[in-house]
Amino acid sequence: MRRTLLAVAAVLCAASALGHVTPNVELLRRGDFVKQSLPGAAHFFERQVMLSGPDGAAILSATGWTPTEEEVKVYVGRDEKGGLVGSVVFLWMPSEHGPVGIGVAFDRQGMILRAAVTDVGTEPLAWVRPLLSSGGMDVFTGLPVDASPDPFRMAPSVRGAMSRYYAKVIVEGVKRARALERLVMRAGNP
Amino acid sequence: MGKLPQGALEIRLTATLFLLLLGLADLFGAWQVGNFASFRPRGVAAAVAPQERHEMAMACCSTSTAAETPVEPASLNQPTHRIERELLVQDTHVHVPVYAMTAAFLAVIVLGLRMASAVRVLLILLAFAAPFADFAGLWGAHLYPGAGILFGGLAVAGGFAMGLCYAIVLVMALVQLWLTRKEIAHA
Repeated sequence: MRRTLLAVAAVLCAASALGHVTPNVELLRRGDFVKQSLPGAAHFFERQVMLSGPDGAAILSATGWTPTEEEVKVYVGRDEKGGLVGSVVFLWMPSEHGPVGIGVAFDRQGMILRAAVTDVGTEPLAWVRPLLSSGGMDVFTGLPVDASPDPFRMAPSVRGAMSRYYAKVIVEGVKRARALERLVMRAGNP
Repeated sequence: MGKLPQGALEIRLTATLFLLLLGLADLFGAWQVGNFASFRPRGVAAAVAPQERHEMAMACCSTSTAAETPVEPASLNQPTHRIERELLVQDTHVHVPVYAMTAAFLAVIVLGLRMASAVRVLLILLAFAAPFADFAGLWGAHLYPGAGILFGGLAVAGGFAMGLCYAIVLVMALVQLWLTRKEIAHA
């Protein structure tokens, strides 16, 4: 009996939980989001961009943010003939309770086709989920290129202070994605 | 001190069930660590290393440039786990109090078990020092990535030290509360 107890204890000792960082909850897989958002695309590409100094200054002025290669990924969908179907921007937004992953799909004119929260931490999920289940992300669909998204129009029935805070985070993320999309899609074109 | 083995059934039951439930939590914690961190110093250092920042804009260039690389959407489906300093702050403020409560509960059980005072002191120190080492290691690896493996080792050592403390308390509690209780009572 003592041997058994010692064996159990040894296993539990080895399995001790050393400190770990809370993982994200993946709400939507990036590949699925790209394919679903650009159904007319036959081929997909990652678009790697180096913004010029003036373009970098423009995005900093518009959003107060300097994008980095680590936090932003841009993908484009093209048809069989190589014509642009649309683009998708993924980025991470910092928040009080860890980063929030946001994906925004654009048509070839830069109009938002769809926006989604792709990843969020386990703790803020409780505040973000009501925004999503109330159709809060629909407010971005079809948003004209020159219109600014408004956090108060995102799931207005959800009133909790932390949910409203996350509405602002998500809206800010969509703003960043849109500002970046314009520059990224223009880059390299004469 | 040392009177837990002679305690009423419900007191011994409380201590035992707490320890067993804590063991279950440890098993799932270990699973979590395996999924999102590592049991090796190098892995811990890599998991909490600060994010590199390569800005997408270059002040020197007057024209933005772009290049496209073919990609399969399915290849984008691999989950990404992003760790930032804010998340480490949040997890420290959540995990350290839980660690402290665990250490305190273990210490209370240690106070009730029969053992030499020196061993008792050692176990209590171990229970409280382990979380300190664990999070000092995580933060060290994050703030000083050059010494990441060293700090990662400290974090792993801290985690296993807590496990060792738990295992010792568990075995001693099971033996003293349930197996050798009569012998103690008759002694």
